[in-house]
Amino acid sequence: MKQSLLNWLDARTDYRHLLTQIRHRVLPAGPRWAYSTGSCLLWLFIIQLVTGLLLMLSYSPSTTTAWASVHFIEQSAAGHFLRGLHHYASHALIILCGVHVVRVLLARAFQAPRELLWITGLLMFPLMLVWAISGNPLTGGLKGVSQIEVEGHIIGSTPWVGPLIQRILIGGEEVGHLTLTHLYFLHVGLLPLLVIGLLLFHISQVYRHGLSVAELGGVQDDVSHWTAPNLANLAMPHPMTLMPPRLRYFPHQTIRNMIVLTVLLGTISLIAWQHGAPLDAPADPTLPQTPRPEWYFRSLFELRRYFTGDWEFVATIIIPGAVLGFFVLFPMLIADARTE
Amino acid sequence: MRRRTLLKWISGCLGTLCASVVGIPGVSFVLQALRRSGSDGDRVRRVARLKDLPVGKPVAVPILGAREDAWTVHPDEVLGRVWLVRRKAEAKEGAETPPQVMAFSATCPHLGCAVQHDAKENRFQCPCHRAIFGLDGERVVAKTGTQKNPSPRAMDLLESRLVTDETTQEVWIEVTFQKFEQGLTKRVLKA
Repeated sequence: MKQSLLNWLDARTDYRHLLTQIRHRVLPAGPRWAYSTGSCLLWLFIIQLVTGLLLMLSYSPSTTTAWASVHFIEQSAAGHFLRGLHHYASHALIILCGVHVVRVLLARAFQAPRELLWITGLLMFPLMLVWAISGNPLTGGLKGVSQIEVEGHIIGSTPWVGPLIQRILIGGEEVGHLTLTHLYFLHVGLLPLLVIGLLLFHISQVYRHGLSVAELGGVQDDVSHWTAPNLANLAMPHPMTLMPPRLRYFPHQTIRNMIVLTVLLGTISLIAWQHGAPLDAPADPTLPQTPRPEWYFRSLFELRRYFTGDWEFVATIIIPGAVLGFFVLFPMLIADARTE
Repeated sequence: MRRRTLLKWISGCLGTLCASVVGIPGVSFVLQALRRSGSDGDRVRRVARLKDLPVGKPVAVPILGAREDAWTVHPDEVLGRVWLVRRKAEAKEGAETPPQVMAFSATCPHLGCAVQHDAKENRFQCPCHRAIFGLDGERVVAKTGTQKNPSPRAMDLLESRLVTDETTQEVWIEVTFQKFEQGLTKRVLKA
């Protein structure tokens, strides 16, 4: 009964072929701990989606209800833990993104034909940062709300389009209900769609191109092996070269990914359980506040000291944009330098 | 081959562990609605003075109180309405007399609409599905039409008593306001 149902499914989806492809994927230079950054990023991302969706069950975005509904979530042990997980996993995700980018950069895995992998990855990074900071004011807390006020002014200081975007984001002159519904729209609607779209493309490119030559220490990742798996040969040592035995991705790389993920998630869970996500006093415009940016925006914050007044947009838009642009174009620049 | 099987098994275990770290609190969070209790005990209210109630004509009174709705406390809200029916005072002393004032929950036992008073027929009627009740709260079969009375039971009679105010010496009706499950033939108190 079960077998015939699976046969029916396979005849229509060819899922067995796909599973075999994934199961019999071989890493030419063997499994490495370093390869686990991508897998862990994906799983942390999924954890963020799941915890975020669960928090949506009891969250209400408006200046009168936001703080109270977050406080309500905090009343239960499960809610306290899930919100903590969502908070600390976002920090871990950003750190791991940085590690992943540096690893890819050092492995020179951005070279042709992997430019689109590099570019989509780099575009996801600032989107993730914006995604993370768009979540902070949603608590309706003192710090979060004063942060969005300052962030609105930073956007507003950009010449030409700045004031327009500021007004649209804030939803008027002052921070209010519309600010929270707009941020909610960004946090649970637009940014997830954008990042998931880029991510799906990113992952499809990984499967298309495999690991880079540099990452494998000079060996070509033979993608054809796992698009048309020759089951008999795959687990055999390569006949002509003195290479380590050709170990399959599953389970030899999977076990490494899972160990790193377990350690990572264990640490995050421990912090989440013990400390929980911060929830300060409800926003009150009459109270003095000195909002400081999150650690991942600290460098840009410092940069603003050198560009004051009308020139602030150099620190907030021009320099970050130029740095991002440089790195996006990096594969092409390197390729040009090589040919000359 | 042995080693591969072991590695697969450990991978599966670690994956399950990670999934349960999110999954178990997640399910517990979703199921919280089941553990949440709605009512916070009985609410005893003095609803009307006896001398203000006309004999044989129902009067609706609101039950006011604080209502907690997840993260909002509404301090003074209409929690529900009660129909008061004053009967003719029985002359016989000492004998077992039916209570002078009966209090019915205005929530229809059928599907929870607000039961109205039909002044023309002098009986209760629910506007939603035409459940009809007499002034004693019992179900009434409509004279015209073949439609059955949709209500599974009579209107919910609430506990009530006459109390004399210590300062003004006026007689008040005191009602214990409770909510019951809809759609059942028996009265079941809402959890």
